[in-house]
Amino acid sequence: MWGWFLDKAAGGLLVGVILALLGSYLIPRINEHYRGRREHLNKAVDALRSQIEDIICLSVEYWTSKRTDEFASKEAVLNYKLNDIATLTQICATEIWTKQDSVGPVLVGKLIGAVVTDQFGVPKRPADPSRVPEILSAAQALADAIASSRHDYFGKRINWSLWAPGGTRP
Amino acid sequence: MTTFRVADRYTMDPGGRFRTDGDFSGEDFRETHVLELVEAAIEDGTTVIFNFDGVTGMPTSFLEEAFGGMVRARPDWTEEQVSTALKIEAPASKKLWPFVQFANDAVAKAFRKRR
Repeated sequence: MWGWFLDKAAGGLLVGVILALLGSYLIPRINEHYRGRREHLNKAVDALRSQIEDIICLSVEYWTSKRTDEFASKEAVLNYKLNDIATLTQICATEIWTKQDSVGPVLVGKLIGAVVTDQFGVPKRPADPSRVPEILSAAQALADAIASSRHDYFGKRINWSLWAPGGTRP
Repeated sequence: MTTFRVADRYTMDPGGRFRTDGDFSGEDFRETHVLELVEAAIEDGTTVIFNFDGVTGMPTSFLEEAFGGMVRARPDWTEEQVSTALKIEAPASKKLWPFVQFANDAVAKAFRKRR
């Protein structure tokens, strides 16, 4: 009897046990990896959104005032935040950061231009509130593109027919 | 077509706007390299590529003074001539791509201000 058992079933049982042990080891680690990555990306998106809001507030304050010597520190902060926006957009919105002239770099470049070009950093420059609409427009365009990119990113990974009647994307 | 690698032939650390701001300024880059190379490209009907791969950063004031300042320094150059003769790139440096766009926009803005 035992000989029959060992001959017919033990091999399969052994393979099954090994696969189960392997799965119980690997699956939680794979899940943790992707969950960690997703959380990291979500935090990067939150940080990016916060930086865009900060850029709007700081640059409106900067351009609606006459420049004084103390503004050098504001300029440093603005430059830092713009660089951070470029880095975070590259991380969060890979769909729009595929080549040098794709949507992501173009829109970030336009935001940079709206904030720091012309009289930026020039001593005693007068207030220039006419810069504000361009800054707001560039920031909004970038925020919209990032939101669309994230939507498309998840859209490719979700079967929309499960979520909407008729199988159409919401 | 000529390629000028900024990191190898000028500096890895571009500086400020004017020569008074320190070494490797946009003004210095324009006067020592940009004007000469773009002029030669226009005369020959070729293109000069300024490649920024390898630099630590592309400061906006440096770029605006180098390339926007080029347009201001040469009022006889047309936008068509410059768009054919000048190319700015950093294909291997993803984080610099927005600054390449900024440099291109700086040239376009300088031409718009002429009109």
